[in-house]
Amino acid sequence: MMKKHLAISALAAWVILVIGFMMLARTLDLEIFFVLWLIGILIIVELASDHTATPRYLSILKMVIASGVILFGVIVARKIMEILSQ
Amino acid sequence: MRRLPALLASSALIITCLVLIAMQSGSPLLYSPRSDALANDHVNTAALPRVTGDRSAQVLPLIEDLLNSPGSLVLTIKANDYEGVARELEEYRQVSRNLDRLVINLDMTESELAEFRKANQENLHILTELSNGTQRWEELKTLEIRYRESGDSQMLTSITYEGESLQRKIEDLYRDYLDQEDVMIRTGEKFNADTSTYLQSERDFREVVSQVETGQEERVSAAGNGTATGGMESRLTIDIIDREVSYSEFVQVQGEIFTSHEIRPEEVDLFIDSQKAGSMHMGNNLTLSFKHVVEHERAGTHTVFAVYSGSLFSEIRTFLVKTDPTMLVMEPPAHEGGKVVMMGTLRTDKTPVKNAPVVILSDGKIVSTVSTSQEGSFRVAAKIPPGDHTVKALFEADSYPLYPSESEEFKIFIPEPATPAGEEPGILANPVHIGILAASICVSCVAAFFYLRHRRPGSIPPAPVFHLPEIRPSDEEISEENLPSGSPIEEPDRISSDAIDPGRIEPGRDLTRLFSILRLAASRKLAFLHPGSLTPRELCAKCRDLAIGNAICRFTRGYEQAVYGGSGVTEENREMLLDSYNAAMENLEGIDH
Repeated sequence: MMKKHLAISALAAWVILVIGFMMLARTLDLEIFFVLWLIGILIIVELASDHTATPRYLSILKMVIASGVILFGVIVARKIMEILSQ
Repeated sequence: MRRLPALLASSALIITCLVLIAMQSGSPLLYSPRSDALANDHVNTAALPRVTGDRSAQVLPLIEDLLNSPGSLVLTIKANDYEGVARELEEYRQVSRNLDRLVINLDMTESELAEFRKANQENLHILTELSNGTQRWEELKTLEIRYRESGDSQMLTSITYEGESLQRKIEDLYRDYLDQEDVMIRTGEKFNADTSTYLQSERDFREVVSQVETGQEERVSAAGNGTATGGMESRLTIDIIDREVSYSEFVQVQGEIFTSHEIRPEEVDLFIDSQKAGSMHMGNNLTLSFKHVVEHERAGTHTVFAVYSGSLFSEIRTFLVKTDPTMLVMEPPAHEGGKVVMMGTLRTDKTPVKNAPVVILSDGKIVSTVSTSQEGSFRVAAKIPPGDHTVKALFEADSYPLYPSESEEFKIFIPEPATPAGEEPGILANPVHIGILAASICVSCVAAFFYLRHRRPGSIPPAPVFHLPEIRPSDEEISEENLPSGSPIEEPDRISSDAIDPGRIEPGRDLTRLFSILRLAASRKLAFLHPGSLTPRELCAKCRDLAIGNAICRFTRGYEQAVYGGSGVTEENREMLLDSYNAAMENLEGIDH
């Protein structure tokens, strides 16, 4: 199986696992889901990347992760503001 | 060709995830009585009897235990087995805690069990005090024998007075214990529990009280009148002005002292319930006086006596603390800054109750506890979840000579907090929030930038190094080659066109660099897009049908074996790699010409 397919399968499995546990706990939280997805994709991309060659799909995924990191910063800021406003 | 199945599988998984989320958001997947209760038009008739049945099944054994425990405990106290008393008290506490937990879990705070639970808590407190009192009573008996043998009349008087205080306390405890009978027996009979053990415990308690009363009578008669132990020429007398007092009233004690000595005493110690309460001071009219305010004394009879210089004792006097009713008045709750503000006052008929704990209940659950001020007022801002609620204030009067009271109930509605869209202007109106948001976005942008620029130098595996057979590297080169492989590799895209001339390849260059040069050269000659993204296999696949394909594929196979397979660069492998590299580069030059 190609590395790309392995990465997709691993990410899908991780996302399903997260959703499954959230449903069992009856706490579907979009922010937690996003953070767990980001952690998953970060690990998968780091494992899949090569030091001699960076395939096109990995470059795109790295851009997605960078956007996710910025979004994560916004989520953290919102949480801090919520705590301060209590 | 394998791309299509992978895409289909991924799409199916994503759609499945979205469907699951939508189903969960739209309506609960799993059925439970709790989620069912949210629907107004649905009644789970099957669940109701089962829940009631479960409650009875869980509560009945506990009620039986709580009716039996006092009987066993009083018997052990009567037998003076204080180790057994401590053990049984702990078990009793544990069973009481189980009942508390059950009442909370089953949401039975307002039910008939709440009264039983309160009476049981009172019984637990009474029996704990009885245990402490009887234990001290036994100690006094031992001390009395010792002091009687040594002829210490002062200490005997002290013991007699303390015994008097203990006797009255135990009598009060017995009276309080009888007060709980109605609730305990009524609840026990309602659950068809056996109440004979509890009734027997009352008779045993009565016997304990009788033993203490008899012992104290004997002690008093043995000590004589006991009021003037300092000799006939010295005498200390006290009197209580008002023998019945209520909360916040003064117990006013006045006394006189006659001594044969010339020195006039300035201070005389005063004891209430055998605990030193203060000192009586000599006034201008040569009388002693002392005022004690009643706040945390239990309701019932209390003893008072005075001692001068540890040797001259007054007679023992008693006063009665009455229990007063209280009024807890709460104003209608108000919303303030997302919280519910409740305020009110707690007072008796005559005076405010100060520094007393007031509990705020919402739907029977404690949401806050607040102390009253010196004026008896309280104010608390509690956070209550959105929805309809019933709130009230409660004063439990645990350590006060006061009856408990509760305020009027108020129905309140807490609206849902504003939607995030509506909150945004409010949040962003605060400059601190804007600063936090800006700082967070800046930090995350910097983190994202460094993530994209990150090259992981430490994670590059050591590249196998080989040398051309005819030229040995110098010692200096060897030492450089043995350095950790974290040295930066030249970016393939930045290799100059001169670097692709095979004649200028120097011995000692690493294999990764050779691959990068070959890949760049092939990409330039054959117009491949994104040369840096090509893996060895992809490079081989792209060139397979060309004349240079054979040489390139041989090189990439050897490269993979050496770099990824971990086999290292053998003598044969080195020759093959160099040959295939040179052949590929020559062919690429040929394409150029």
